[in-house]
Amino acid sequence: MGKFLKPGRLVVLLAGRQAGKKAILIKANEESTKDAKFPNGLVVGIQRYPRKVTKRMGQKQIRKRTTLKVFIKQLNLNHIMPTRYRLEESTLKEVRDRIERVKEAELKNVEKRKELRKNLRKYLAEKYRTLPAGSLADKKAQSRFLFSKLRF
Amino acid sequence: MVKNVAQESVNQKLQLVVRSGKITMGYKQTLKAIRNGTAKLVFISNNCPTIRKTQIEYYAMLAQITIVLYQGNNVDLGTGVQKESLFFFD
Repeated sequence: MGKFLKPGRLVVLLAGRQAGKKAILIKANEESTKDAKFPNGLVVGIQRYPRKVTKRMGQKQIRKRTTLKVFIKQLNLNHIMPTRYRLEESTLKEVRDRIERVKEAELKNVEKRKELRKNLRKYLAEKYRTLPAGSLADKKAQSRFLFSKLRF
Repeated sequence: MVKNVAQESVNQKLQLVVRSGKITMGYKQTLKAIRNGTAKLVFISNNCPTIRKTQIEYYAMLAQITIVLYQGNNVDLGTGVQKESLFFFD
């Protein structure tokens, strides 16, 4: 009835090197595209999660421990497990803007991809640091789900 | 939403749908259909492995479609649809 694989949906990857990592679904192509002959989706995921931080740590250490590493991947929708969490509009818009600034053809270019990853990494790290305190049920803090490591 | 329905009426409805409607059978295809938004109702047999069952239920919850937990195993479901294969279907 309802299409739920919309941009902004938080997903968990089920296969590949990044299996078990959480990601943001940026774009879902139900029909195959030219280079991906299967229903695929573009995701931006977290490869290395930010570490735990305690009260005793100084600012510099906190800053180091709250960095994260990001990956961009196009993968089969079969290998994505959607969750009920969604990224907030504002964050999603920013992420999509940054990705759209790099044209499709350029995404294949390793250098450009690296730059984009760095770009997203900085942005998402800032978002993590300024995350409002709140439970996952709170709509504004659903991205908290994205930054917490799935333990298995 | 998960419904527990009386077997008789379900079988009748199943026959009707098979004749006049569109069915996809099988785990992979049902997930695809749910993702697409084309699925409206999903039947799960009672001997479906729990993980799979929960996964389908979760997908259906996200898509806001109904699930029917069929009171029989996959062979019964197959008989209900008058096909000989073993499957889960929607």
